[in-house]
Amino acid sequence: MSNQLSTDILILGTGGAGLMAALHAFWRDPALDITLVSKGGLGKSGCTRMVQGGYNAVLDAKDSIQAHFEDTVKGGAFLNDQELAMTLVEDSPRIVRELENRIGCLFDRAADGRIHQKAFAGQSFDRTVHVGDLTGIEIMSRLRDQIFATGIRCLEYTRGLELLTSADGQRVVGAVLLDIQSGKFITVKSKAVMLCTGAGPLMYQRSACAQEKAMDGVAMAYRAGANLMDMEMVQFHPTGMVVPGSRLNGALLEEGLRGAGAHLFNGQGERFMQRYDPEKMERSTRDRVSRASYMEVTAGRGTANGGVWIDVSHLGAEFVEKNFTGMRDRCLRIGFDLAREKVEVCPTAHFNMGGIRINRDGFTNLEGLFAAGEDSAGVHGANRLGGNGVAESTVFGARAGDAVAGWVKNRKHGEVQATQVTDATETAGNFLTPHSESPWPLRDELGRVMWERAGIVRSGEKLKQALNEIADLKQRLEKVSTPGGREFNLTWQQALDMRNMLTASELIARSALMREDSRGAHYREDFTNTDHANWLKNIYASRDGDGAKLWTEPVKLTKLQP
Amino acid sequence: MPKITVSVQRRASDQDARSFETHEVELSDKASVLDALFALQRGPCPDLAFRFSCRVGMCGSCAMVVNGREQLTCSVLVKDIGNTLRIEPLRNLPVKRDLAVDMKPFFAAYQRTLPNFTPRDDLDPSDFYRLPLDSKEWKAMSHQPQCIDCGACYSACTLVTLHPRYVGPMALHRALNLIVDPRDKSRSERLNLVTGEAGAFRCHTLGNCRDVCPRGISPTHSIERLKRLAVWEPFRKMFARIFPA
Repeated sequence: MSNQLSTDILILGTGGAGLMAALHAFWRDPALDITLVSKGGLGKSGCTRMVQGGYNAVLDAKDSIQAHFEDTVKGGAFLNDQELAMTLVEDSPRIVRELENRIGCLFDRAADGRIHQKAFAGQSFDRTVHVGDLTGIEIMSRLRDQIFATGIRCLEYTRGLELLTSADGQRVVGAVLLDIQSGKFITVKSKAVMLCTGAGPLMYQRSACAQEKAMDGVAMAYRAGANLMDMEMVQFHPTGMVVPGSRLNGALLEEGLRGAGAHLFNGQGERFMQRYDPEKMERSTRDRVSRASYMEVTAGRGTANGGVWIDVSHLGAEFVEKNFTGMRDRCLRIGFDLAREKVEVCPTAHFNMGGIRINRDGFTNLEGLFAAGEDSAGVHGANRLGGNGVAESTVFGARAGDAVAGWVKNRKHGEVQATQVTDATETAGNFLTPHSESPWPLRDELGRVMWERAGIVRSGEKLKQALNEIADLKQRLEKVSTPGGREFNLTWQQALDMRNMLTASELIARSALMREDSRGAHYREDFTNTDHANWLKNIYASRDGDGAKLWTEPVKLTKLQP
Repeated sequence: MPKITVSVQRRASDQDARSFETHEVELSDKASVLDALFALQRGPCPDLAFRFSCRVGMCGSCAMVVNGREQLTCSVLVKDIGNTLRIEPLRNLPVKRDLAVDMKPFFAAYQRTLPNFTPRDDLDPSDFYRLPLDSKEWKAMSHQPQCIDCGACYSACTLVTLHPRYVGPMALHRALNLIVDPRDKSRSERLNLVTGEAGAFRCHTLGNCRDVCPRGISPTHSIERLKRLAVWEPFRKMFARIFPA
C-alpha cells in the first residue's frame, strides 16, 4: 500500500515559499535530491497565486529600511519578532529584484520606465511592487517555469499527513504523504523537511484563502513536537466579497482599493471609519478596519446581507478600469460594476500571523525541520500589512532554501520508526471505514463556531464556549466516514482537512483565551486595552501528551520600543 | 432560482467507459458552475473528482467543458448558462477521473518551448530593466491579459486533436511573451523551437483558443506574430551581422 521514497530535502507546499526554497537549495547545490509536494497543481495551489496588490520593498531613495521596519512593527502592534521583521525588510529589495531579473517576473513600470510602486493601506510610503491587481499569477507562473528548468521532482495533488521523527522525537526524519489521485500512501525518508503549506484560516465560515488549505503544516508540526507561537493572531481582511450561496463568498477585493482612496460606508450611508480612526480613515490597518466594519454590522448599521459598502467610483471609472481590472472583473461576475457603483463587502478570515516558531533561516526547535511563509510565525506580530505576505514567503523561502542546502550536506538520513508510519496511515484510512457522520456539516459547524466565538470580537466567555464546541466536534470527527473509496476522493480529503483545522482551531481559541489584552487582530471585549505592561509577550504552544501546553515569553524589543 | 439539472461525466480512468450522472440541485442566483459541483459533492456525489483551488479565476485549475464549451467553472455563473448543465472534462487530455484530466501532456508540451525566463548576461541585478511606456521595446511587448494556464485553449484546439505533437496555443502565446521580452537572451533559440512543424506553423488560425480563453487572450494573434517574427528572423540576423550594435 505504501510507496517508498528517499530524498535529501522534502518541501511540503508549492506557493511562493516552497518554490523559492526549492530554487535556492538547487542553486546552492544542484546535486541535491529535492522533492516538492503540492496539494494541488504545481504553481496553481495556495495563496501566493492569489496575491492581488503586490510586494512591499524599499526601492526608492526617499523610502527607507527603517520606515518599512517601523510600519511593519507598529502595524503588528509590537508583537513581531523584531529580528524577523528586520530580515523581511532588509531582504525584500534584493529578493524582488531577483524575482524580476533571475526568475523573470515583469513588474509594472511607471511612465519613465522605472519600477512602479503603488499605495497600500497602513504604510508611510508607496512601496508596493505589483503587476496590475493580479500580481500572484506572474510570480507563481514564472517560479513554476524555473522549477521546470531545474527538473526538481514534484509530487502534485499529494498532501502531507504526518511528520516522522526519530525515536527520541528530537529529529524529523521524513514524512508520510498521501497521493490524493491514487489514494496511495508514500513514506518519505528525508534528511530535512520544510513546511511551506501556507497555513490558512479556513476554519472560519468566511475565508479568503485557496480552498485546499487546511492548516496542514502547522498541525503536522504541532503533532511532531514543534513550538508554535502567536496562534491567536488571525487576520481578518476588511474587504471580502459578499456572495451568499457561493464559494466566492469571502474572496478578496484588494488592499490597493483602500490605498487608492476607497471610501467605506455603512448601511446608513455614513463613512463609519470616522468613528474608529478619524486620522487614517479607510487607510487604517486591516485589523482596525475589519473590527470597525464588524462593529457597525453588530450595531445594526450594516447592509441587508450583514456587510458594508466599498466605493471607489469617485476616483473615476477610467482610473478604476485601468488600475483595478481584475477586481472590476471579479465584481462584474456577480453583477456589480466596481468602477461605477459601490460593492458590498464584509471582513473575511485571511491570514495566520501565528504558526511555527522559526529563526531567520527557517530553523525550528526540531532538528531537520524547517518552515517558511504563512506556516511560520513572528514576522508580522499581531497584524500583517498588505504586501508583506508575498514578501515574507519569498524572502524566508529563499533564506530557508539556502540554509537547508548547507545543513543537509554531510548529514545522513535518520531512522524511520515503522510504528509512526502505521499510525499515520491507519488514522487517515480510518475515515474510509463505515461510520455515521459526513465531514461537511462538521465543517459548517466549525466555521460558525470560530466566526462567532473566536473571530473578530472575542471574550473569555465566548472562547470557553468555542473550546467546548471544538472538543465536541473532535469527538464527532472520529465517527466521520467518507464513501467512495481511496482514489481522488475529495470528501476523504475534507475529513483529513477537518482533523488539522480542529487541531489549529483549538490552539487559536486557547491562545486567545490566555491573552487578556487587545492587540492587533486579537480583540477581547472583556479586555479592550492594549496592555503593554503585562502583554508584550508571545504565547507559545506545544504538544504535551494528548493536550497542549501554553506559555509566554516576553517580546525582545531590540530595535524599536512602543 | 429554479432547480438546476446537472449532468456530470463519471469515469474511473481513461480506459473506462464514459457515463453521465444527472441530479437536480438548488443554487443561489450568484452560484458559479463550480458551486454546482460543490453542491453535488455535498449531496449525491461525495466522491466526484474535479480540480479547483482559488475560486477567483487566478489559478486556472477548474477549466472544464460545460454544455460543449470550455469554461473556467469558478468564473461563469450558472444562470448565464441555463437551467441544464452538462459538465465534462477538458478535451485532448487523458481523463484521470470524472471531471479531472491529467494536465501532464499539456505542461510537457509547454516544457518543450523553453518556457523559463533566461536573463541576459548584462542585466543589472541591482536595478529593474528600464522600460519607458513610450519606448519601442515596451510597445513591442505583448500586452494581453495574464495567462493562467488553465488548458481551455489546448482543449478547444482542433490542431491539437489532429497532431498530438503540436505544442498548442498556450505554449506558443507564452513563448511570444518571452521572445519579445528585451530582458531575455534566448530569443533566437526559442523562436526556432516554437516555429517548427510542432509549433506556430501548425496553427490554421481557426480561433477556437481565442473564443474560449477565460482571460480574453487571443493566442491566435500571438501565433500570427510568431509566424511573422520567424519569417523576418533571417533578415534580422543578417542586419545584426552587418551592423553590429
